[in-house]
Amino acid sequence: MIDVALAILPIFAMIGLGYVIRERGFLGEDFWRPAERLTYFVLFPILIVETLAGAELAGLTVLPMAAATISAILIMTLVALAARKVLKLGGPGFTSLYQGVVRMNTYIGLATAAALWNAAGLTLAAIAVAIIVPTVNVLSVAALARFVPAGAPSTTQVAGRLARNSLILACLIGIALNLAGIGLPPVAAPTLDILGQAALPLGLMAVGAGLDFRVMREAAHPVFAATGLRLLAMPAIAALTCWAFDVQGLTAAVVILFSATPTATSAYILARQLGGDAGMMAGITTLQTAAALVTLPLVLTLAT
Amino acid sequence: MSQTLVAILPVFLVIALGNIFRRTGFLPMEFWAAVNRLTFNVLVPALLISGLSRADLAGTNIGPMLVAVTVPMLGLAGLLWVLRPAMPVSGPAFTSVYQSVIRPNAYIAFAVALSLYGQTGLSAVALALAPTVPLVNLFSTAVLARHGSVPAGGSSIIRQVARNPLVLASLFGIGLQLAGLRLPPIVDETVAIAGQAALPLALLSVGAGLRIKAALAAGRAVLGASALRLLLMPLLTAAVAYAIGLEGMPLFIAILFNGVPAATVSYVMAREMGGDAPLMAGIITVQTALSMLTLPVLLALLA
Repeated sequence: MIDVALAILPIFAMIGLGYVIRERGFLGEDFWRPAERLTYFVLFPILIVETLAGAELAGLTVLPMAAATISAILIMTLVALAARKVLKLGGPGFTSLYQGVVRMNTYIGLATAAALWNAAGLTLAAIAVAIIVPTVNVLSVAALARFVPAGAPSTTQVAGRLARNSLILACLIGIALNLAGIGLPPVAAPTLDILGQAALPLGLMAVGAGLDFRVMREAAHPVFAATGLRLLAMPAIAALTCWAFDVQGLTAAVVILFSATPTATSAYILARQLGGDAGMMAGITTLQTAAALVTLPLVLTLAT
Repeated sequence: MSQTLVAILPVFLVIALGNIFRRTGFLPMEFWAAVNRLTFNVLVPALLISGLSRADLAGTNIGPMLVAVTVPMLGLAGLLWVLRPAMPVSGPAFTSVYQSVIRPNAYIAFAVALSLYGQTGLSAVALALAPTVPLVNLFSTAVLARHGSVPAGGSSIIRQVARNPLVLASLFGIGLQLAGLRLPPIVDETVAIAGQAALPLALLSVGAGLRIKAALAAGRAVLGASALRLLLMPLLTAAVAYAIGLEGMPLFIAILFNGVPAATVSYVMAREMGGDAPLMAGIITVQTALSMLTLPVLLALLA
């Protein structure tokens, strides 16, 4: 428990640093949007390409890992639909609860995997990203289309959104380079290495900068429900699906880790763009991120 | 040569990428000002503290390395001061040439040293930086006060120099190293994570600061400044280093430190204190571009 907490606390300290810098106005409002753009479109994809291109993929049981991850996400989809009935949520409110339940914070996932399990953990985490990002994006957009009909995107728009998703592209490029046996060429490798180093620190700070404890005052039942489902129920379900598909060891730990991270900060952007309840989304993201400081070490101690 | 080149080329590719990001508007001007504030005040100090507290500096010839770094710096600073009356440039233009000759781009030196020698190389550059930054700031300020177009308030500048976060962080890191201490567990890791973002962002920002138009518009002063900074300075450094028998990693670091192009922060100083800011931008751009050739060649030949 203490080992795990010691490894995870610096990650939350970086999130806290981003929060404090934003609150103090040290960098001004002009910093964070471009910083997120740089991280999301350049640095983070580079880290993924670099990790996957050079990874030792042989011997990894990717298919069972994908089956366990996607089943956990689908089971939680049913749980969220049931929670909607219980909480009597409207369409926009449900989409935010749903995004809060199924999306995963890839920065925290990767940073934690790297801190706890080094290169092997980072490789599995990058593969987890390749499995999770397309799945939860399709499901989130579908939920928004179904429950907020006014802003419904067409199928081609959904496909376009996925094709332009920089993380999905990075996963594809990284895996292609790896499978083709190309890896990364001599000068490209150190260049990407320099840039990729900034991805997690900057991404974590941006997560912190996006937190808003003011919206927490209005936090209602759905926010607490989404947090409990996400941080406690989902890792339990993920442990079950890992067992069902015979996913073990470090691979299972990484699947459970991602299922125990708070929701992705990009959920807020999607909620705003497609007519979800953006205020509730911000509340869910903030409460989950704060609560994960306690639940994540707990879950990982139980899981490993 | 090839090993040095492989360490240097990526650094310049990242710089070029920063320039592309600024020119295409992908990352706007206001962003870069904030990046500079973040790297200078938070991230690079974090990198230096974590590097210096972890490095193994036993067997590094720090004293002789500092001699090899500072003697040419002082020599060229004095030479320019003496030759000033004979130089056919305006006062503000002179301050820009002067700054470009004595103010090294430490970020490039850090990145190359880290790539080739790890934490020890990084720390050796920090050890060279700690005493030279106050010196360089003092000289630049004096020259700007004397020849610049804006009279400067001396006391506020001295306060600024004393509070330079890079110097403070280096001193703190050196203190930890000498005392054989590490930061407390969680703090240590957090500082290390923050430090990882320092050089990528600093190098991108160096690139964002390059001005190709200013480089093309600049006159002969640029070539003189570049020859002094990129050729004479590292050659003098090598001469002093050979004379005192410096070799190995400290020799490499001394030549690297005095062979990198002028620091981009010189532009801010030139603008704020009445130097020739457009000329400064031109010199920085030309030197950064030329150093891509001179740095690997000189390091391969001399170190």
